[in-house]
Amino acid sequence: MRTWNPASASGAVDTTGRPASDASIAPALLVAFGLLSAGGAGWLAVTVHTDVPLVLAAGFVVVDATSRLFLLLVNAIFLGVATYVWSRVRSEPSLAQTIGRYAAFAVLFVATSNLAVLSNHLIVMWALLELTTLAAVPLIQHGGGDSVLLVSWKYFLFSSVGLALVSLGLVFVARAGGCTGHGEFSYFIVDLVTCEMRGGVWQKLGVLLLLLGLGTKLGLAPMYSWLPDTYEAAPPATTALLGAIQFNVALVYLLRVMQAFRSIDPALVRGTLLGMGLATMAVSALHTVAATKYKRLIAYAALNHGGVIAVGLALGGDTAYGVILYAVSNAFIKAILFLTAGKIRSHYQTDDIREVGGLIKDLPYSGAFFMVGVFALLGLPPFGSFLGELIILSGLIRGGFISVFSAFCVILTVTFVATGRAVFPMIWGESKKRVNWASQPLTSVLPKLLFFCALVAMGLYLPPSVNALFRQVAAGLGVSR
Amino acid sequence: MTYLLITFLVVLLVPLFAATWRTSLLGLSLQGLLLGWIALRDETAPSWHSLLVLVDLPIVRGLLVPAYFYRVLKRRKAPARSDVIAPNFFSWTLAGMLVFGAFRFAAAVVPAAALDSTQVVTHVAVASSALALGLFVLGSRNTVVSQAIGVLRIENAVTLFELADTPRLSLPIHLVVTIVFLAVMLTLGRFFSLLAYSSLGRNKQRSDIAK
Repeated sequence: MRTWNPASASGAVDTTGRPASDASIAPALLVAFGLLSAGGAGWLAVTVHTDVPLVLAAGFVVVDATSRLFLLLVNAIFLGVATYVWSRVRSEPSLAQTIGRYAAFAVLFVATSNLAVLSNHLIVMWALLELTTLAAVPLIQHGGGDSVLLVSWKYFLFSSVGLALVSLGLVFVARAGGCTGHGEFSYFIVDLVTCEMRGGVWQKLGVLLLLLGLGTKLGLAPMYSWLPDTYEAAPPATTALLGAIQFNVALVYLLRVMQAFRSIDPALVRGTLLGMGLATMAVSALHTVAATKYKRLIAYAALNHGGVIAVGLALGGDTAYGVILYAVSNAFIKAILFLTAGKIRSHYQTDDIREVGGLIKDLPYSGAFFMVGVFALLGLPPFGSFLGELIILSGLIRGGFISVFSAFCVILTVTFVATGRAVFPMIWGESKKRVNWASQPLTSVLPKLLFFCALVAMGLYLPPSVNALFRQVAAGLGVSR
Repeated sequence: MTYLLITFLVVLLVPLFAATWRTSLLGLSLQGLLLGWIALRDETAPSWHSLLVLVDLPIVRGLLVPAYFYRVLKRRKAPARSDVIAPNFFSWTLAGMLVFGAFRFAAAVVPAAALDSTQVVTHVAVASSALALGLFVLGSRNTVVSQAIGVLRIENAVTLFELADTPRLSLPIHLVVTIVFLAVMLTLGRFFSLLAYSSLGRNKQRSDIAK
């Protein structure tokens, strides 16, 4: 594992030497792009208030509650990551060598992510999701050696297979024909949402393949194994982009699929998502018990979160609000933890949990953020993840899924104990390497601080307009037609 | 069209028994050409759409992509032998069973009363065989070349399903999908160029990829 780490690039990877101006211009441009896109997403979230989706660009773009909320999330996270990269390059000029290429692919990654979230066409959205994957490959490889290359291959391979299953699912769903009473099948989401599907074996198979394919992209069992490897090996900034941005773009696709196709066979959708969700949580808990590296541990927690979201989505109804709250919290938690893991790694020069101790004394800021991130990760109050998890759990009881509820609680308890046992000594244990750590610049702390505020706000008080946005997204999902 | 589909099935099966990456690429090339033939056989007049299909299937999938991979792998001096499935009787039987299962599946899901049901059943059966064998290849070996071949087989299977009875994509959407396919292929080629010689073709019990 590396820190955001063209440090290893200083000589090892790109010996051609980039112009020195790259060092100052590229990260600044990255932040400028982040500010611009976050500003745009904020403007869209504030100014568009209609309950009816706004369809633009010959029907290919849709501005509705889902796209507004997730655009805001994606761009807020990207701005935070861009600021982190900028601050790292400023504090360690040796990192600047290959920043230009990294920044270019990061911009491509977030631009395609934005377009995917805004897309109103399932095939265009699929193509954009594939492009985010292609843009992410060089970001994962950045500054790494052969082992990272193999990890990026694994990521690429699983993503390609997952997206191939998604495209096959779309072919199967389309094969059964258009809506009842209409002729041609439309891939436009706003048409599909209002359409009564014909049903039948092809559409059921299609929905199953869509869930499996998107499950692969989200890191759900059975095709999850790329996720911990990739999250561990990629530079922290890239891991934050994958975990907090790409995950949510794939989730938006899944939400669209649920909006459009859940009615084909609600029981099949529920059963598949419940199975995949619980299996993912179980696998994550088992791996967490055995984890010896902190970044991998966070990756397993990310797996667990994916499982919780799948279980929540399976239930639908009132639980949808909790799922959205949990998914958005989850993005902020992952961003905080992976970016902090980069700092910890650069301080201790190790990935091993046992070799890190007394974080709160050694690195007060990073230690505090790591502590907060872990609390939120474990679903403790007052964070949004706690509230989201609580709503999902109550949904399980209300829906009469007592056995699922029991399994859910057992797995969460195992995860809680295993994570706490590994991480709490890292935070409060004996210091392993105490040095006079230079005070951190505001640009390094600010993004995580804002993410933290968002997490607390989601647990305690959401401004009415933001809460209404969450409710609108949930309403689009909640009812099984 | 049945003879084209049967030829496609033969092209799917033969490279499983010939353990070189050159045979696999030749198989993929033939698959692309056959897909183009199947897609264009009923075209009576040239159109922008048929031109795009011509570029997408026979030219890109049938010729350019296999030629590009051939060039990259030859330049990397990839080991000639590259089993896409384990070279033993068990694997071959399993491949045969997958094809048999695909035909049974097609017979079960295509309504017997449908127009041209025999042809539709054959089409679905061959496409399902392509998909099942693609997944089998993907899961069987852990070398980069055979995994890439598996992905390409799955892509071709999806296209064959598309040609069965799915509404046509509009021209701009088809163009977008073709461009994305090309971008994926370029990325695959880049991996062939970058990855270590050992991970390209040697069949290992447990490679780094599987870790």
